[in-house]
Amino acid sequence: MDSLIQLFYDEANEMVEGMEQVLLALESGEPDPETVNALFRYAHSFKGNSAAMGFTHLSRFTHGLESAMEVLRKEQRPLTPELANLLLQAVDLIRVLLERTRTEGDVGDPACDTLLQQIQAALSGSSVSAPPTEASEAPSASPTPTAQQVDACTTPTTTADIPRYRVLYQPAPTLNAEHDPLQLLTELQEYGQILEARFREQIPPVAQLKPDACYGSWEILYETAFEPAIVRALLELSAEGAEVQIEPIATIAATVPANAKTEPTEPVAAAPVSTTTTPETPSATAVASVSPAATVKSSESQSIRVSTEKIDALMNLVSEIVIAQSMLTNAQSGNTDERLRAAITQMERHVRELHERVMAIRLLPVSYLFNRFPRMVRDTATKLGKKVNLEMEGEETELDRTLLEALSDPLTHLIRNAIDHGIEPPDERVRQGKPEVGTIKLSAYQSEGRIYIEISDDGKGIDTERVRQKAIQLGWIGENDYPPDETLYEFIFQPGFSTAQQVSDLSGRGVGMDVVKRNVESLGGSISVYSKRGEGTRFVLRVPLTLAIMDGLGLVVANEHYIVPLTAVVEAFQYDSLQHTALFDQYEMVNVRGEFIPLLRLRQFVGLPDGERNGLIVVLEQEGQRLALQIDSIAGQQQVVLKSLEENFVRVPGFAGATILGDGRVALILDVSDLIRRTYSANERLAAVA
Amino acid sequence: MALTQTTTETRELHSETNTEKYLVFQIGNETYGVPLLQVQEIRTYTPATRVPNAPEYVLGVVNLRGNIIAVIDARARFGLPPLPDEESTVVVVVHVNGKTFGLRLDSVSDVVDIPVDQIQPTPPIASEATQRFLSGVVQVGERVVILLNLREIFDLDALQQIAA
Repeated sequence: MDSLIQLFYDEANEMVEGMEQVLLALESGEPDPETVNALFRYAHSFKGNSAAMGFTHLSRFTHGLESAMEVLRKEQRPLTPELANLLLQAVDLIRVLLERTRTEGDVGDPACDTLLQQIQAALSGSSVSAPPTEASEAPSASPTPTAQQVDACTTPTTTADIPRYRVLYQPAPTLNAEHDPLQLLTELQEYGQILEARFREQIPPVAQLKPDACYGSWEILYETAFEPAIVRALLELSAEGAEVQIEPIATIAATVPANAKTEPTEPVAAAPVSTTTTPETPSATAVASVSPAATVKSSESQSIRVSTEKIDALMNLVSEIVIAQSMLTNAQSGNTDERLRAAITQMERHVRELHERVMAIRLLPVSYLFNRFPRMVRDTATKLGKKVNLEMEGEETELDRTLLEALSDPLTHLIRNAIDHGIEPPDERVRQGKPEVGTIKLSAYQSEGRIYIEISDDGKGIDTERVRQKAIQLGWIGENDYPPDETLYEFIFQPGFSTAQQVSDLSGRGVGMDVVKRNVESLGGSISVYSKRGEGTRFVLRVPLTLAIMDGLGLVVANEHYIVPLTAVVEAFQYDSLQHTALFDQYEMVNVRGEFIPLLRLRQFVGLPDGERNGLIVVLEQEGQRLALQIDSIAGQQQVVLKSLEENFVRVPGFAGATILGDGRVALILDVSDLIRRTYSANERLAAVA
Repeated sequence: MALTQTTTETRELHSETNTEKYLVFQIGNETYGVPLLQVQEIRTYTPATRVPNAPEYVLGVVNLRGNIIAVIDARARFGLPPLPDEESTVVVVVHVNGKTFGLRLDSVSDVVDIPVDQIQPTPPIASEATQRFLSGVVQVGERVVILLNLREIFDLDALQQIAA
């Protein structure tokens, strides 16, 4: 039963999401018949599914909405803001009710009727005098469908402990036989549980109709711990002359839409409704038929749903194979057998590709995350009396699922912040010569093995003076300190900091920004901010693209072995004292073909006593900044599985994680961005002191 | 009928001798114990990879069937001088605070049943710093076993100072 319920909620969430998307699209554009039809498909499927699940209130409410929207479609009327508001409220109400059905079953709400009345009133042109019904929680409080969806999908699938059967009960052809279908069903119910019972009509045209013939049969989805033979005996006993068929049903796992990489047609705006793969047993179609309009398929990519447990297991396995692969390479390094070498090289290639493909399964486009924002921006802006337009870019950029979930909160906070504190009220903007409608731009792109997400607004920018004053107030700096802007911006991310005059219930409680920073960093990412007074603010979030396998270069200092991502390595060369300089005898630098690059001694960084001061220089680069790392020697290149340090330990500064070498030892993986940041800021501190 | 009978029996059994199993070991001259329920496994000690700038008592990290876990030296955690690795040196893998850790010990003795009602609160025998690592004392035969509070020993908030 569980997987069936799960399936319902998964699809329900998708449909509700889809409805909302369409409503938002309709509001801002022309009523395009295809879009309006999509709206109906969603509503219709949802109505059917809810009814099948026994959630009659929900189904009826949706029906009411359908009727209302039918009016719009027939008369080709545009969606007025008033109507849009009401319909969106209805979607919210559906969400809330949907949640409640999990614990309360078939539950209704007087708000449903009130809302339907208001919608009717709006449609018939009379003004809505009553204030819009507050769907129990503001949209911001209700769990986002995406998160919920993903949430629900990470619940491990439970195989029903009680076997299920598809029971076909075909009564005897003539009604004169003594049948009592109701009694039959009642009896079935005593020995198990009827999940669904459908009566299949096979009524011929009237001319051929025989008054005492039975034209119908029942298809029952039945769950029972009893042996099928017993069930059969039951049925045959009470249904003489009837035909009974009992088929066991294989369970279908709860699923998540896996984005098959093949041909995505257009950027996924509405959540793709996927077709459930049916296992071979025909009885599976009984399950599929639970959602009557499961045939609803948007024109987007074909996809199947796979349980996340299976994917995770697959991923782990592939990671282990990569490790085993490097153990193999290690073991045969002394060997000169050509065939062995050739075989291992080929396997390396295949393992690499296998890894890439499996990784790709876990990737979802960022649009999954972004899709909830248009609504949020709309509602928040309206609530705050501001006019904001949200632009999104790069929604097709792909990101690991777990990252998507984790980024949801930080991004929400940043966007709210932008609306609340960044964008000025409309008249203020006009006074400043800015367009009345503010713009918030959300963009995602990939670069250098990382994913970048930017949130920028054309609002008033960060008031550095206020930040400075607040820092003075908090005792972080003195009255006469005038730190540079970058330092002031960093203050914003410290706990306890907030310049909001009042604590709005949206943001500014002083617990926001530092949590955002911490969240992003716990993903192995970072966040930076750029701002200009009067022009706007831009936040840049950086997160690693893959959480798993990459090519690494082994670096050795003393007898310790460290790994650095190969993508960050520019070049390596022998240390030459001629290239080395030390400004003020403190900042060490290396002159590489005319470019002076700061030097970091790895020995020193990892806390080893001073040793070899020559050795090798490895030039690293990340985001346009370079660092020269001085090491003893290089230990070769290998594929490396990134393992988390935080999972069972803590985040160690300067390191992105750890890996297991071919010989079973653990090696720490350097976080190049972190190293660069530390070296540069250390140099700055030295400069400040000097 | 028959089912309920057994349940009552079991219940009676429990109330008579309410014991919990503890893994008992030596550190220096003292005997210590940890709840067996928190112990995942016991392994021979393999050298750990050093974690830069970590506290003294963190020996480093090791590979536990694909997971990276930290190994803490019990002696160092209690402020005792370290001993060289011996054949008998073991790592007790424990699961605490939602994470998995290793605790390096000189040796492990055995598993004993300790009656819960005989556990006494710890007298203030240790320094302030280490007092919180102890969760009680109990007499087991001729030995005095000092029970350890693994949650405190593996309190990562203290370790977070690495992240400074």
